[in-house]
Amino acid sequence: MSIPTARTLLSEATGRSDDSIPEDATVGNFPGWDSLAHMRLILALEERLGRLLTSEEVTGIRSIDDVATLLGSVDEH
Amino acid sequence: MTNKWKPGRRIHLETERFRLDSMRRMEVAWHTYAWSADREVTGPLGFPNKKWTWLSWYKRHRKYNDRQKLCLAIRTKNATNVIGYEAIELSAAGTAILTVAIGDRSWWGKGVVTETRKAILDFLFSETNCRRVWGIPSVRNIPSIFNYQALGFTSEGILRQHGLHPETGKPVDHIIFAMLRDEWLLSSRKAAEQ
Repeated sequence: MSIPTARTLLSEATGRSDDSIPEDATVGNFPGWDSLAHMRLILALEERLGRLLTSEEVTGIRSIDDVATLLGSVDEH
Repeated sequence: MTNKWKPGRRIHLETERFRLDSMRRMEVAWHTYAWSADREVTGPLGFPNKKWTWLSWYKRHRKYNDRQKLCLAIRTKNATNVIGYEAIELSAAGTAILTVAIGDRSWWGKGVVTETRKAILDFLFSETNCRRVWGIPSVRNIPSIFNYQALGFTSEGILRQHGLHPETGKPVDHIIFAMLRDEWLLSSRKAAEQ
């Protein structure tokens, strides 16, 4: 999984430093991860992947692990 | 609410930062007409991209009656202007579908929907016979999807090509999110214990 990259994307989306992102960050438990940060995160992922995320991918992103898994699955191909 | 709500009675709810009050159709149109020119507000509501007259804006809204069709104005506790609204449509079968709009851009990304929707869920599950609350945001309405996820709604499925993208006009999927009464009571109990 691409945890460091996921952490960087989440850091940029939330405007927080890398080391302030909790290892178990989720949409419900990390105060900096608000609705606008979530939109910035999705757009950053789409820019990085060069395509729109599918509906399943959009709804599947609820934690930093989910971001890393999505990035990792792309890296494998 | 000190007395159990009865259909037809106006609703007043309070959260830490906001107060929510019933509006009827005329009040909704009156307080929100300024938003009609903001495509980022009207697009996610599914409204057509057009120039709205006051009359067409009024007619576009439902006939809110504080019975099956509810619309709650969101105001801060120390101001009179409406920053957004939460609309609710109750069914006789015990379900409620939600729609939200935050027209005041200065409040975007500040947790208005998660805070007010908690109060609405408490109200619906304790004061009415509602057992299921649901919504179907477009998959491109990322802030709305975030709000459902942050409150613990379950993603139940995808309505493929259910709507049209407000800007491109192309078909877009919508996501079904739902919360059952027992799930909300359980998560509220867990939150209170922490």
